[in-house]
Amino acid sequence: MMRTTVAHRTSEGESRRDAPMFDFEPGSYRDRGGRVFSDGQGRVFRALSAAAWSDWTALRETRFFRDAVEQGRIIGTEPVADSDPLLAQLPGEWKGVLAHRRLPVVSYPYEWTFGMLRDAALLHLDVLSAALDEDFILKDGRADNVQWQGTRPVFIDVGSFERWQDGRPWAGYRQFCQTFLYPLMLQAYKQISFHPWLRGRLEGISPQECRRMMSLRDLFRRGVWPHVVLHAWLDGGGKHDAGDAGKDLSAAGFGKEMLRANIRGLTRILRGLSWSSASSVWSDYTQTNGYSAADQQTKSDFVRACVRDRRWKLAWDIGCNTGTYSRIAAENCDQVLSLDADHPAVERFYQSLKQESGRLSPPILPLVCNVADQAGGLGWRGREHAGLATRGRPDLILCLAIVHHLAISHGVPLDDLLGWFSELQCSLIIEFVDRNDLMVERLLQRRTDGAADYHRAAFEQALRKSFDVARTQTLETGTRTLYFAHPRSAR
Amino acid sequence: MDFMLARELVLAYFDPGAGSLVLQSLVGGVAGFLVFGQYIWTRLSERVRNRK
Repeated sequence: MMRTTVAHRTSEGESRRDAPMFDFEPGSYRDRGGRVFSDGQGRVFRALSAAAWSDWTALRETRFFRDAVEQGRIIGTEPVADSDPLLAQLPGEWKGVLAHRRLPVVSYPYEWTFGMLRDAALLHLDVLSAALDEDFILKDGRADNVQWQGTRPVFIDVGSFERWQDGRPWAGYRQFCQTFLYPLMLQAYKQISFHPWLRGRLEGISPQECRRMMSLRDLFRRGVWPHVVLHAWLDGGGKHDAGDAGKDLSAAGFGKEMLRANIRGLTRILRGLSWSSASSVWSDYTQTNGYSAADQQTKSDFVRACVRDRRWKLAWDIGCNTGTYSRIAAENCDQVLSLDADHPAVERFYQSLKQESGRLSPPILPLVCNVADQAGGLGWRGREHAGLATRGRPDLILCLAIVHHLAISHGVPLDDLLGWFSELQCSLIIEFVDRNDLMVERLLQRRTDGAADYHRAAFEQALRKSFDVARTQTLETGTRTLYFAHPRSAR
Repeated sequence: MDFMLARELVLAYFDPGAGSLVLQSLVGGVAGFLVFGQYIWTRLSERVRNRK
């Protein structure tokens, strides 16, 4: 991930060669109680202020925290020993440092499917509820407090826990609505995709915006009246100070049972939300793709043989659909990032992975992502949310039955596409579908220029410019060819 | 305790929204409704006192 790099300097002002580099997480700046950073060697830490350290020392003694870490629902966290030189060299005034278990890859809520966002929301509420049992609360309620280990959501913002004071409401409730509840309601009740909303503004959808999208019929749907309509009305004026409101509520007798009732209510609403993801051209692609059984077998065998070439750290499966080849890649890969622009297809893949895997989830993270329209450079200084490649460079890319869509439907020049793969310095398992293929003919009919630069010779020329082709296989149809290639400078 | 609460909320690193806090009493069950009533009563009383 893109980070602000701070080299430690000695009191004499000279840079020390042996001092670690502190890469501060650009998105971790809001809460002055803590700051996330890495040491440049892939280890992830969280520096804590004196007040936050006091909360941490109490938190680590609680049963719910220990259990949740043990179950993998909260990120593994250990304090860094006082004697560790890291503490002395860390710039800034910090009381202590925590070391977090590193997750394989970072993703953002606008890349998750409906089911993923809902599962992340339920985990968030579950963690909050368990914390309340032992007089802890979460400072905030943002969706990016959650990340993924395979298909298992993990709560990562350990700095968000603080001791609950009697009479205090949950400050993160509005954030929870804006980044979890409203996006899910829009998808479930209105069939409006939440991805552009969450990508367009990291703070999410305001109560007023959500209210304006709800029709009269929607007012009778579960949760809309209290959490959207009333919320928009009470929140709209902005005349009152939150501190005064909190103080008056406390004086009026606000208590933990009300927080619990709200959490229970939100949980019921979330469990009741469903989204019918069955109606997509691509989610049924596996059954309707036009490949013969023999071609499918040949393609699977080719991919498997290439994947077995060596052990891979991170593979991207671009245009993963419902994940047939991601699964094969995962057989010999530490982590597979499965990317597809089609939300229903990725949702179907996520749900199937979830059902199969249980706790031992395979190292596959399915994400809704159109590589021709990638997110990145968002938030403060354009650094909070980084692009895909900045978050982790793959050493293998699967690009099967997608090149023609990128080149013809999205107009990406073949040179440019292969140039991007070349910059990533990764091996490729790539499929080229020729102009005389039925699917390509259909796509070409939509273009007035006929995409004259789209043909096999141009593709192979672009491929061989930066890659050594180790293996090829033309499928029985004769219109589809598979290539296994390595970046020239890497072998 | 009231002082502590106000201090904490002011020091929160983002604005939790006064309306969003108040709503938590309304969605907080029967007891929450009573708290909301008391909250409104307090607010109205303050307004009347300030006018005098």
